[in-house]
Amino acid sequence: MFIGQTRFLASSLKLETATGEQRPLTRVQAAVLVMLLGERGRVVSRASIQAAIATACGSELPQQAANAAQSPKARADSRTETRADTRTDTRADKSFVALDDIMASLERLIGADWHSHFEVVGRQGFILHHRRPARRLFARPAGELSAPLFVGLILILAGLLFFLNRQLPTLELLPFSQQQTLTNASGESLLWRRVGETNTAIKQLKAILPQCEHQPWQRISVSASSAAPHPLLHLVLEGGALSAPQNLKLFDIDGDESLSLAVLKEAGVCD
Amino acid sequence: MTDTVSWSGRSLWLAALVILLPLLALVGMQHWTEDRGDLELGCTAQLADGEGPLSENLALHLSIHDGNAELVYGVHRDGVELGAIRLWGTLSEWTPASLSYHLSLDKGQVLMDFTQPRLPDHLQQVVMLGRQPLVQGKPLPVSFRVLELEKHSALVVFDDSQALWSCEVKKWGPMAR
Repeated sequence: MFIGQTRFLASSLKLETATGEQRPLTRVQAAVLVMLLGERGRVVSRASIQAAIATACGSELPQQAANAAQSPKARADSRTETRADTRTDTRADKSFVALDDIMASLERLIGADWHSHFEVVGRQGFILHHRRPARRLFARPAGELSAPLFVGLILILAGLLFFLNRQLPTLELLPFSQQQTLTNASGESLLWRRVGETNTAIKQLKAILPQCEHQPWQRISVSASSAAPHPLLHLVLEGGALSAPQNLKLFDIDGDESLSLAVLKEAGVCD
Repeated sequence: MTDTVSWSGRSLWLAALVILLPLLALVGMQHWTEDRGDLELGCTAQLADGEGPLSENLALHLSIHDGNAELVYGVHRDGVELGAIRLWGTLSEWTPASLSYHLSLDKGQVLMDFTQPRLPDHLQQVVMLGRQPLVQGKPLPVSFRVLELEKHSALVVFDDSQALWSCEVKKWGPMAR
């Protein structure tokens, strides 16, 4: 049975590393491994493991379990004192600590393969996974990655964002300089939109439009060419009886009184 | 237990590819569309002055294909083209995000109906304005933006003149032919 590249030799109670080195296990450590490997991929409760240890080692628990975590010398020294204590102490608390110590001792024996397969499930128990669990990129990136690598990735992403920001143009929003609803006396509304700067003719047009008795258009977009060849008022009329928008170019309307309701009616801007 | 595991090299390469490939595809798409700003617009306008509608109409035809641009601006009466200006050159730049087009028109012609004694006044003034850079051997820069785009129509404004046009969209995009 393998934990990563470390092989558990149940018959000889040994672990064999990837390099071929064999490491002896205590009976308690072996019992824990047998239990975890038997339930591989599932949560094994602390009580179950304790029961397995008790079955395998009898009355030596939990002190022997605690000893498993100690150095061989300390373990040997303390072995003579164990048996009297184990029967009288509060077993639950000690066994809880002892189990963690056993796991720590296994971690020291097995190394990287252990903590890439082994998982503590709160205070309930433990899982020995079949394979190394998938890395969770967004769970704890700083914890999963080494600090220089994490900073490096962040810098690369920031550089990419800067590059993209320079490469991809931003969308220009709100192309209209002015946008508002005009309402005439009969309550008909018209969306007025101006592109660019205003001038006298545009102001006149905006003032006259609400005077229309009937508004045949739903939307009027307007702009003014003040430069050569000659002043021109550009109107785009939309939403009328004709489905397609209509363009209207008004010449010679730069004078103070050049635009009137009559002119707009003649041109079909209003009825 | 302390977790000192760091990512393996293969995982890092995979993560870098997952991040980089879509970004590179985005930049590639941007460059691809920059080269393919094909477009064809047809626009007509009624003319009017302070006394009412005039009998002439204006017509504007604008086409961009494979980086070449052509602009035809004419005056019509009763369906007959009295005269027109045809300018052509290249699409020097366009920005898909803001739908801004910059044309560099270095060649031009004046087209006139044979029966007309002279160009319409408005067209004559446009010719005088547009020919100056060409006479000096420079291209005429023309820039416009599409403010609104619907299925069959586009609202277009020319940057220099602020001329506003609603145009029929005849072709649009890289697949336009």
